[in-house]
Formats: sequence, C-alpha cells, structure tokens
Amino acid sequence: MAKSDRLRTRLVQAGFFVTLLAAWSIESALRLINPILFPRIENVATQFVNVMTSPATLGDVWTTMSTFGAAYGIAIIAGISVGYVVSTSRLFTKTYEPVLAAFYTVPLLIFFPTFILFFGTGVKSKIALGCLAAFFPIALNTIAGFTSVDRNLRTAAISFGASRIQMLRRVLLPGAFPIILTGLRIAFIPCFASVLAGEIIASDSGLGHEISQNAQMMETARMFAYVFLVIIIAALFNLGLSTWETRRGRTLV
Amino acid sequence: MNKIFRGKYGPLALRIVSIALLLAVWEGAARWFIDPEFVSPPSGVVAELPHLFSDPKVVAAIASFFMELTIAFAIAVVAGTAIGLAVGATPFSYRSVFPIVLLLYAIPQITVLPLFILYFGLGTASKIAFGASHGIFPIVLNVVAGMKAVRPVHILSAQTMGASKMQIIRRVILPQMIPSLFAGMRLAMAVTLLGVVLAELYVSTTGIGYFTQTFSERFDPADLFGLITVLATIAIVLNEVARRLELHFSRWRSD
Repeated sequence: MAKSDRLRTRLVQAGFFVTLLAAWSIESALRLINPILFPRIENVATQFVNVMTSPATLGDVWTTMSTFGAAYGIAIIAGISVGYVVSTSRLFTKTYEPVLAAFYTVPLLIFFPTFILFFGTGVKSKIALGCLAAFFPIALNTIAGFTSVDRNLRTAAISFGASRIQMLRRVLLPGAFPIILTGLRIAFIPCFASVLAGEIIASDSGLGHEISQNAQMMETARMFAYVFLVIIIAALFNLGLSTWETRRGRTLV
Repeated sequence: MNKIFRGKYGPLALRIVSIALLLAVWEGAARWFIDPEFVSPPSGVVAELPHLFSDPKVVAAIASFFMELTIAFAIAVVAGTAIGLAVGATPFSYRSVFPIVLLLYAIPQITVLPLFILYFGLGTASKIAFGASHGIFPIVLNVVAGMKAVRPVHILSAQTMGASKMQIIRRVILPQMIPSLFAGMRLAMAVTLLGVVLAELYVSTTGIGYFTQTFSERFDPADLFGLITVLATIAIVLNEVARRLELHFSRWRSD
C-alpha cells in the first residue's frame, strides 16, 4: 500500500471518531434527545471522572476482575488437560472433538439459571459461567495444537528413546504452544463477556452490577461511564494478549 | 478401548456410550446424593416435560423466543449483507470503514444491553433488536471477506467478454460469495441466539427470563432443567441446520 493511501485511510478513520464526538457534542449542546435515553457528553465525562475517583470503583473492578481471573484460570487448566487427554488417541479425538465443537456453538448462557440455583447470585455463579464459556475454545485449540505437531518429530523423539514426560515437555508443548495461545486469546472475550453478563443479569456487586443498577435508576450518564471503563479494560487486555501471542509465537516457531 | 470401538462407527459408538455413562452418573448422583431442591435426575426432567408443556404460558414464552430469534436473524442477514456489500464495494471504503467495523465488534456488547431495554421496552422488540445487533457482525465480516475472495481475473475476463455491471454481479461476484455468506450465517445464528437469550434472561418480568427465575426461586429443578433442555435443543438444531446449509452451498467450490 502506498504511503499516501495509508495516510488517507488513517484520516478517514480519525475523521470518523472526530465526527462522532462532534455529533455527540452538538446533540448535547442543542439538547435534541432526552438525556435519560442518550446522555449529554459533558455529563458522561463528569460521571467518568466521578467513577474513576470513587474508592468504590476499585472494589467493583476487583470483584469483576477476580471473578474473571478465577473463571479464566480454571478454564485454562481444565481446557488444556481435557484437550491433551483427548488428543492422545485418534479414537478420542474423533469421538469427542465434534461433541466439544457442538457445545461451543450453543449459547452456554442458557445454563446460567441453573448456576444461580446451585451457587446463588454471588460470584460463584459467574465463575461457573465464565469458566464454561472459556473452556470450549481452549480445549478445541489444545486438541488442534497437539494433533498438528509434525508426526516425524514424534517418531524421531520416540526413536531417540524419549519418555512420555520428555515427549510432552520437549516436543508436544513447544509445537502446540502457538495454537494453544491463540485459544487462550479467543477464550478471553467470551469469558469476560460472560462474567459481565452474569453480573448484569443477577448479582450484588461488580462492574456489570453497576451498569444494570444505573440503567434501572435511569442514571444513563453514569451507566455510560461504566460502559467506557469496561471497554477500556477489555481493549487493554486484548492488546496485551495479542502482543504476547505474536511475540511468543515468533520465538517458538 | 481401540479394539472395541474400531471401524467407521467406532467414534459414534464411544460417543453414545460416554453420554449414556454421563446420564447414568447424573441419575445416580441426583437420586441418592444431592439435595433434590437443586438437582433433578434426567428421568425426573423427562417425566416433568408434559407438565411443563401443559402450561400455555410456558409454550407461549418458547414460541415467542423462537419468533424473536427468526426475525432477529432475518434482520441481521439482510442488513448485514447490505452493509457488507457497501463496505467491500471499493478498496477505499474497505480500508477506511472495515477497521471501524472490527473495532465495534471488539466491544463487549453485553454492556449496552440495558440501553436496548431502555430504548425498545421490555417486550419482544428489545430482544429482536439485541439479537440482530449480535448477528449483524459475522454477516458483514463474511460478506466483505467473500467479496475480497473474488479473483480480479474473473471480473476482468467477464468484462472483456462484454458482460454488463449487473451481469458481473449476478454471474461472477454472487456465486463466489455464496460460501462465505453461508459461513457468516452459521456464525450469525450462534451469536443471534446468544443475544436473544441474553435479553430474555435480563428481562425477568416476562418470557423465558420470568420462568427461569420463578423455577429457581421455587427450587423446582425439574422444570428449570426441562425448559433449558428445550432451549438447548432448539439451539443445537438451528446451529446444525446452518452448518448443513453451509456445507451444502460451499461444496461446489472444491478447487
């Protein structure tokens, strides 16, 4: 792509955001829409500062992120273990991979009411939901990663007398790692969104709880502030994960 | 293991055995070990289904869930295709607008669910709108990808043979796009389901959300599991239909 072309593209994209902000400012200044339905830009800015400086926010961020961390962590351990076991035999792969893939397309959120029944409206039901959402992409990518390891490498390792552990540590894991990492990145969004969804639908704390509480009290400006905070957190996480993915992927291949 | 389940149907047989085993463990655990207020055995769920379906309100809730899903999906396909065609039409519109679409796609949409309820109310409209807002993205992405996949050589040769613009769209671009459009529709089906279920569960005064909440508050796991099983079955069937259609329509392009 020519340099002037790239500049033109960037200009259009920057123009889009400037136009969006300008349209929002003009709408706010002229008071066109009922602020309960669509808040004014200056109110959202004020509320965002309020939210960021409020000590309670740290607690909400901690609740949501620790719930997410627990769900993601359990899903990583369970997903990689199950994926590894399934990938050890061709029969297992053929039998269970389609089952895991089928589950992946079902909106797992429909099981949330049962989690509320088992675990109540606290963080445990959100951990269960987030874990379920992240498990399938991680397990599927682990299977894809382990089965994609070059057969010649395996045969070579076996003929050099590698033990099962050595095979896993020196051949399988390094070979499968980039694809497993992609699975972890893919799992991030559904896991994080499920935790938020759980908090929005039924909870007593966390960022999702704040969003739905403020919406129900018609505090739309404050709700927008929380939505922006969530988007910033998600974007930062995603950026970190994809940077890590490209860097690790490059050093290992 | 390998000896028993060998041959073409080995994996299928092992799958059935595994599922049967799982159901048996669940049945045993629910009967003898777990508090019946929380878990109902599979036999109890099946026995409860006729009772569940005898309530016309539950049937109406499931029917309206199905209707919302259909309309949301239709809106997503039509609007998504139109937007996708516009975005993919020229290299310039692709390079400038496509990253914006990707950026919007990366926002956790669940965070704006309360806004949809605020705008469209507690009824079916908000559920349709929220479902369609989920489904539209995969359609746009795949329509654009499909347009990118059309080889310039094909368009050029059609032009040299004197095809009109309309003919090029109908005979060259559309057939090339069909496979990725159906791939988009399969993905859109999955996320539209998610969007509608999200909105249904969020609104606890009517529809599915009302019944799931009532059943859990009544500690009535048989009814709750039954309702969820029905919804999961609908989801699995619709996803499978979308997957089969995709396979069917992409088979011709085996080169």
